[in-house]
Amino acid sequence: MTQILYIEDEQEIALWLQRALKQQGFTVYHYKSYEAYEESGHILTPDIVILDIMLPGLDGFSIARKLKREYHDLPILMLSARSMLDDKLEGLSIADDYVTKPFQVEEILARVQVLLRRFHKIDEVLTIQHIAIHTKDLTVFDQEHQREILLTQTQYGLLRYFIEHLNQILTKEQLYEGVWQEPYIDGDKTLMVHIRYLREKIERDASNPTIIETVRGIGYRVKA
Amino acid sequence: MKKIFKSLLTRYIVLILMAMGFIQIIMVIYMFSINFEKMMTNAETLDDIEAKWTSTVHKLAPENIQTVVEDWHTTYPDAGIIYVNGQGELQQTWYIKDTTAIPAKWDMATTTRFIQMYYNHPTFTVVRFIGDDEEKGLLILQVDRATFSAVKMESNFLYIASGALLLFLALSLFFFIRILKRLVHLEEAMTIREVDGLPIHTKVTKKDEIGAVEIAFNNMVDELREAKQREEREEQLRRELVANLSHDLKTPLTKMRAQLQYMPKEQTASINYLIDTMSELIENLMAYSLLTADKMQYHPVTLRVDRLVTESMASWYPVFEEQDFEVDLQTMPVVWLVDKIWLQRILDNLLQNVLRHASSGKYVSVTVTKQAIIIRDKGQGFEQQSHTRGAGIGLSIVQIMSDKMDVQLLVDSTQTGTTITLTQ
Repeated sequence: MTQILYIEDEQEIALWLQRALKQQGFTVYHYKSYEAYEESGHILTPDIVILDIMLPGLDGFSIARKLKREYHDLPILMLSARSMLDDKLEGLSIADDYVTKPFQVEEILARVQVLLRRFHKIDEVLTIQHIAIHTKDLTVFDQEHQREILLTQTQYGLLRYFIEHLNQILTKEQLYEGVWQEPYIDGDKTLMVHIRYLREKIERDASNPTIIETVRGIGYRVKA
Repeated sequence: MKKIFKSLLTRYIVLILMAMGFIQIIMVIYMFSINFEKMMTNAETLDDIEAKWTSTVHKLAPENIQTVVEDWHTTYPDAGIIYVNGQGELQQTWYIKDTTAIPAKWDMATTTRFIQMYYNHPTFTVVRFIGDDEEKGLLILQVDRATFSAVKMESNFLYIASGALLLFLALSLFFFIRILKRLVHLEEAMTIREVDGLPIHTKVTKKDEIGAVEIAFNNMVDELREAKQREEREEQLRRELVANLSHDLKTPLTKMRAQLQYMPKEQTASINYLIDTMSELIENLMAYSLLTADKMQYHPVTLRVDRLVTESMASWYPVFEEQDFEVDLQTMPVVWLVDKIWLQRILDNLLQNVLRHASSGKYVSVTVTKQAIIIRDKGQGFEQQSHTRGAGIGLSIVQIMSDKMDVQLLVDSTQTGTTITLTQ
């Protein structure tokens, strides 16, 4: 069961989001402030934390810093009605995601899902067309032919990056710099070559790809 | 009192006094040297010799000539003597080196020629009648003028005087070079900037006038720093205020959205849309307020504009896709000097505008060329959408940000579409 620690002082908002999260099958522990959480005596090891920034007592930034020191692989999603850039930048420098109010519940749910996947907090099987991907250990299974598809290091890297940014269009530069960890040089064909190799392994028809979609002029996308 | 001694003016006056002292010393030396010349030439000038010769010869009788000659020769070894008798016949010469110039017969012509010849001649010549009597003849004395020329101090004086002058020059040069050095040092201190863009403190070495300037300069730097810090605090406060205001406005919006869960789904869509619009308006209003007050952080960098445009399109694509837009993106590598976040915002506002006001065309194209970013749509144009509120402030922000970043914004809007061109 995925445990969510949620700190929010606005009762109405808290109830609403809590309900939506519970409907998704998460266990939510909600507190009005960090002090309230500490006083509750509950010692949680949450899978993910959702934090408001403007809170009575310790503010969201400080809580995030404190939690990040204690659990280094704990994903933190910040929620705030403060949308100024400074806040956003500071938030993102500490936390893993930052959503401004007034948010849509669906957006929060999607982002929680992304964070859980990125931090390997859930053992989930993603089914994209005919292939099934275990997001935790990144094994790829071809359901049509009932066999595991083995990938090279680079191909795993690419696939992992796509899975971590599911449904997001990734530009060539973002992909290259994310996977190879070095600056992209204009005209470099390495990425294209490796995407072709990956497609040859996972697509039904590599020349007409449907899993790794090409968005013309912009980049690539893997949709779940 | 101590302060007076440290003053540059005092030191300058001391220097001038020293110079005047030098002049005094030089004058004393000059006087002394003149007296010294006199002392050295002491006893006899040519005038003295002439007077002495005159009196000697006037008292002389022709028989005693030999004694006088011997006598003068012992006193003036260089002196030559010529004796001519009353009839004008050359009788005898003593110690004359060159006798050729001396006539044997002394008549009016030869005597005059002789006198003429020795007038102002290096050899000083005195012609006198013996016993002051024409009949007794002439006794002529010849002395080298050089024997009696004065011992000169002038050359020594010149050395001392020019030495003193040089010393004075060196001293005053030293004085001014030191002043100059300190001024240059101060100028450097004024030009160097700390990381915060303010000048650094300069070290006060002396408590004179320049020292006072240095102290004043340091005080000024302190005041500047303080003013800057105050300004930063105010800026921070203003941002804080705007951020809190945004928070205070958006929290109720979020609560409204939370309340929507209790409403039937079919009624929520338009309210949801309104909440989004409202939130966006607040956002734009805050940005506009910061921008017009020149309080929005601005950090221009050289940026690959094509990459930013592509990333921006990547995040907008799903929304366009959802509304069945045809999306066309063409880029080539271009570098601009802009603030990344600002340009991002410009693009966001323009694309938002396309989505909201030009959706009837179902088309958006973004082209990055060497010269420009061009955003084109096939909507009904600005004329038609002017009634739609909300576009105004978003475009104002685009305008202000473009201006600040030296980006020219060109809007060409017709009823069949709008083309927005950004150039830098």
